Amino acid sequence: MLRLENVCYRYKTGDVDVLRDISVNFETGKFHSIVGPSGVGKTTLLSIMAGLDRPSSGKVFIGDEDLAGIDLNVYRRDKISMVFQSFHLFPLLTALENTSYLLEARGVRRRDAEARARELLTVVGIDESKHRRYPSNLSGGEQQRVAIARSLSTGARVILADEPTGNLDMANSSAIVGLLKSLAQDEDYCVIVVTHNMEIADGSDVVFRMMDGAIAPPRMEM
Amino acid sequence: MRKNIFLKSMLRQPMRTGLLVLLIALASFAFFLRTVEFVAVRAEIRALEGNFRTIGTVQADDYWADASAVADILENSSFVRYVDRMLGIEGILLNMHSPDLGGRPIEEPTRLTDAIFAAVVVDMDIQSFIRGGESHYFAWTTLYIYEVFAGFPAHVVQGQIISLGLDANAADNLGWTDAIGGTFLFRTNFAVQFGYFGVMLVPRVGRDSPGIWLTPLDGDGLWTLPFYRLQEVGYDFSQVPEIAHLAEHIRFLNHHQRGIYLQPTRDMSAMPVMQPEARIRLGWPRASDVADLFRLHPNGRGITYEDYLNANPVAVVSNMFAHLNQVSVGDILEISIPLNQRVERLMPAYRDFLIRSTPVDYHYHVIELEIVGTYFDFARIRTTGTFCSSFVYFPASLMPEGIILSPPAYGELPGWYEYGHLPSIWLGFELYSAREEQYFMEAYADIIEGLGFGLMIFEVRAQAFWATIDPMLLIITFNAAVFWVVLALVLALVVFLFLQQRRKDMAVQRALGFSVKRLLWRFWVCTLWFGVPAVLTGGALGWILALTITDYTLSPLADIIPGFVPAVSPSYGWFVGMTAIVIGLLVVFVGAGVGYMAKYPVLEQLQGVKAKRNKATNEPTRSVKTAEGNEYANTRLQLGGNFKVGDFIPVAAPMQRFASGTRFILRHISRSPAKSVLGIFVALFFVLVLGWLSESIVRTGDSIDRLYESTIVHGEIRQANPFDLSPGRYLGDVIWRHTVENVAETGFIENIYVEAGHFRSFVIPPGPDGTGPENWYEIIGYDRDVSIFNNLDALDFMFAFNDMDIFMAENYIEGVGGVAINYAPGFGSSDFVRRPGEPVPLIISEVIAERRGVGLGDEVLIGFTRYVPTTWNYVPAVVIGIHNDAITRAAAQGAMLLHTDAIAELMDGMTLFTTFRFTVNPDYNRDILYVHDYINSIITGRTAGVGRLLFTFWDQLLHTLVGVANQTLLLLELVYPVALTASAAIAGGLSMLLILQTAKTAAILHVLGTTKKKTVVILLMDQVLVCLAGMLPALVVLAIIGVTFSSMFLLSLGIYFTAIVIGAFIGAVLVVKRPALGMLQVRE
Repeated sequence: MLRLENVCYRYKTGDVDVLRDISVNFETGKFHSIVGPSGVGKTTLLSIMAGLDRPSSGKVFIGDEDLAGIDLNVYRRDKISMVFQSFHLFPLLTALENTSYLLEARGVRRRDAEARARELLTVVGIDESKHRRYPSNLSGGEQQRVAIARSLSTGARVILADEPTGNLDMANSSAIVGLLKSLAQDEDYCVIVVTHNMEIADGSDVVFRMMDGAIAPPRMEM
Repeated sequence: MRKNIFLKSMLRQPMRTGLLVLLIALASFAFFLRTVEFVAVRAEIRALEGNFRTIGTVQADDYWADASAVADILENSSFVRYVDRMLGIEGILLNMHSPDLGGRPIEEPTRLTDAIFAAVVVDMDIQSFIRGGESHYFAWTTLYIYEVFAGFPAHVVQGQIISLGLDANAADNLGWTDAIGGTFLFRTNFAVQFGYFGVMLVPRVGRDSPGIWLTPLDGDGLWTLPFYRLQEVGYDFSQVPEIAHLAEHIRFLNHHQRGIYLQPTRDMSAMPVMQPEARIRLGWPRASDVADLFRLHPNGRGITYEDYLNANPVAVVSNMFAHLNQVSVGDILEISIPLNQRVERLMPAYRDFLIRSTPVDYHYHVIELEIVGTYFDFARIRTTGTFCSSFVYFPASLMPEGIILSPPAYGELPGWYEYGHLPSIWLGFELYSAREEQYFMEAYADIIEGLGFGLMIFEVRAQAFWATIDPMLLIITFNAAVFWVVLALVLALVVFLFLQQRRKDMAVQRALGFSVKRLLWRFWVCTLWFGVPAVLTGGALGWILALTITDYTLSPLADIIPGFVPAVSPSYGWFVGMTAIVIGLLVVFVGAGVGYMAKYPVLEQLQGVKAKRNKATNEPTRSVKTAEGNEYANTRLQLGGNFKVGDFIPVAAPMQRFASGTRFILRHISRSPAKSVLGIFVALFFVLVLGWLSESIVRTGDSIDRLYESTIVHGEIRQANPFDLSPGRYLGDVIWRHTVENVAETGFIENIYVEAGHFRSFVIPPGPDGTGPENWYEIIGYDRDVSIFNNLDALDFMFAFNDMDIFMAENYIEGVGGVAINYAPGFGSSDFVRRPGEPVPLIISEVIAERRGVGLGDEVLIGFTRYVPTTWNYVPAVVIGIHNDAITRAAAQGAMLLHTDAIAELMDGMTLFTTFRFTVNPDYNRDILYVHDYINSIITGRTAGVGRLLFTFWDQLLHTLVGVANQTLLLLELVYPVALTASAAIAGGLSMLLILQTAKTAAILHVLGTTKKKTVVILLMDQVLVCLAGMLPALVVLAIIGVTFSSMFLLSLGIYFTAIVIGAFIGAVLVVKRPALGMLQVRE
């Protein structure tokens, strides 16, 4: 689904190789983890995968399309979606509005967008009574569920999650991880989680370990 | 500093910090600018108020009439700031002589003063001169002044060598031929006589008797004091019976020579005699005497109201006094004030008035006064009420208590001699507010009139001044108020943003155990670190600019008010005070903000989750575990039926996309009310301010145009010196006809008013054949053999003018009435013209009608002579009216009235006009200075008048009104760009800052696939809509109140709006340039 070929990244100053010859393939229906100590290039890799930055060399494919040939804004809007540790919902929009925002932004009628958002919120486990709440009135776990619902709203099949459980307690963490796994396994999404949490990594279908800007061979979890 | 996280974070966010500092500096700049301008202009207006105070006096038929009762009433009036009674007293100069007893200057030929001194005869030379063919001899005597017993330092100084011409016979009689080397007693008068330079001593030595003539104290007889060699009597006059009384004489002489007239005043500038209009407007019977009292201040200053309030020991003396006594500004006068004031009649003779009073019961109250100014006393004060030779003004509050009056030693005296009697000429008063002048007059005119006095307000254009100053004051006050509000708003916003950015820092520190008090202190330190330099920088720039602007703004007022020099120099205390205000506001706002933030639980702020408030239970409101444990046990997707997450395929619809973006923006606006209301209010406020200022400019410009179009400027040409003898026929005929014509033909003049008179004329009924009777001499009682000047009573005076309406208005007195004319049937005022070939229309007085036996409608003859008094002519005339003689000008009372065209015809075109007034066509008001100069060039011509002419141009009102309106306009035009710049800068800065606050939202949008361009548009539109939400209501309000949407205002709106767009755009670009992921990720 998302494929990186010989991706290298070097800062514009040109003195540090942040990513070195990374070639990985993220498949649909699988829950991937990328782990590694701080400073090995996980964020840079995430930026490249999220279409927020371009590699210094190498290629990134979404399906068969080379990212070099497509508009990264379109890529971010249609092909991937992101989930953050700090949720990053629009604080001034309700849970429902946050979820429907991307649909509305694409021109979907408000009524339809909201109907879809309601379904998604229900799917991720947000009770209807909380649909009209602002993020500040939701718990961390609920906010993250809303963030996942928002990421599902666009139809993008790749979900990039940056420490999605970093701000959550164990119960919420397992619930969120469960949701993401369910997305991969039940809905055939390609879920890529960048995390320090070895429990999450251990429960992943595929784990990539990063070291000094390079990626170790994948370890298939059975 | 190392421990102050807030300070560090400020330093490490240079962009945000810079913007905050810039905003504080801008707000301070505007605040200082407007406040200093307000303070400076207010101060200058206060200074100018002095020129436009309402100063009044009272007048009576007898100008020595006692006005004490009026003063009492006025003193109790709530309108009156003070009444200046000016009850003069006598003072005695200590250690100093008064220059002259009669106040006569040294050049005065009749100046004669008394001196007694001892002198050594140094030399004597018999000389001769020829007069009338006969030889005359005199003794030219040279004296060395050994000791001065009495006399003036200007004339007699110890050690001086003087020469006296003594009559040779007298000298011979005295046996002075052997007097050389002896010391004698001398008495002299001093005089400056025509033909001599300097002072001449006139010896008072008996011509036929060997001694000195001396008038004794009681005025009876004449002493002839024998000459004694003073060495022989040892200067002890008492030992010599014949001169025993001389010691007393000398004592009195010294006393009088040091006497001055102390004139207490509360404010010299408010004295009636100081008012420029007094000479013209005061209708006192002895106006020329009053005019003599005018005083100017060529050096130093006058006694001010502050001097009075603070009882400053200061004095103002005449320049002649200062000259003769060799004192100047800064010197101290030591004066004793007799408690028991004497009153005596002044005699016109100068030789004997020296020793008239008996100075008994003298109690000396000694005061020391510093001379702060001198006045130019060009008049002789003949009637002062005391013997004092010179007026010395001092603050009335220094007047000693309990001054009493000694009974006069010599008979009854008029009331005005008495201390406590307040003559009307001295009474002055000032109103609290010139704006209450009309109410004051309404309230008191009748009361004062009931006491036999007229209430008079001097024309100082106070009402016009305030009418024009008020808008200016309103503008500067409004400006100041606006920017005080702006300051408070901007500072509140800056503090809000400052604290908002440090909310988490504060929460973390609180979590780490720092007390709120300590954190507040750190916040304050941080505020001072960045606030003080910003305030000082902005404030200093504002201060400097304000001084420049205000100085420049006020400088043209010097053209309006003579002597006015803008002195815009507010105390630096204002700078310190304003700095303290701004810093104080920052500190207070920070304190309030920190206090508000401290109310929130630390964890709530750290977690970014609001606590549920007002719950009665102690249940943890955000216990995720509790909530999650029950609700979210299922960690899988809650899929139901055939629902598949990925089934939904969005359908793009551009319009919906647009609506979605708009909705997002509107939600943002509506759901952050504090920011939005602030933005809306700022826009509303600034647009209203700009609209109001723009409208003020438009209206002020219009009012200037109206003033130019409607203000009437009068001019008057008259004899330069009213005391000159009239070389013309009568009544000061001084202006040649061609001068009037030349002025009238300049094209600048709208209408003219001229008067002329002629006294060699009479009215007589015609003879049977319509010609003049042969015996007109007998008829009118004219004696052809005597000078015409002795026949004036037999003649009728002709008084001519060219405009009946003006004449009637000129002679109308409020409350008294004016000239009443009884017209003959079939005639009216419109017949008062000269029609060639017809009888001259004539309006005669009741007196003439009676003594000539003529009545209304009668045909009469006007007999007159032109140049040769013995050649008399007649012209036929018709009596169209009879007037009641109520002509205010005494010289014209009882006259026959005729048109100036008629008198010109009678005089064969050689008319000399007495009065020439005109009004300038308002079309030329804008060039009034040129008009003045042009007309002035005509009247200064050598042939313009018989004597020198004085041109008075009453364009002061135009200058004042237009000048002040121009000032207002100038001020507005200066204020406007500053206000616009400040508004635009603040609004643009605010927009930028507010957008910088939304960096995270922008990052989310970007991550979610919104292009940078669209993100910029969304952020920009957010601010633009807020701005429009403020601007539009403001524009509606301005439209409703009728503000003109001038091109300048519309341009300003454009600039203001553009500033907001630019500020927002820069902020949005800065925001979207930041790496999105970096903004959203939690750093490891």
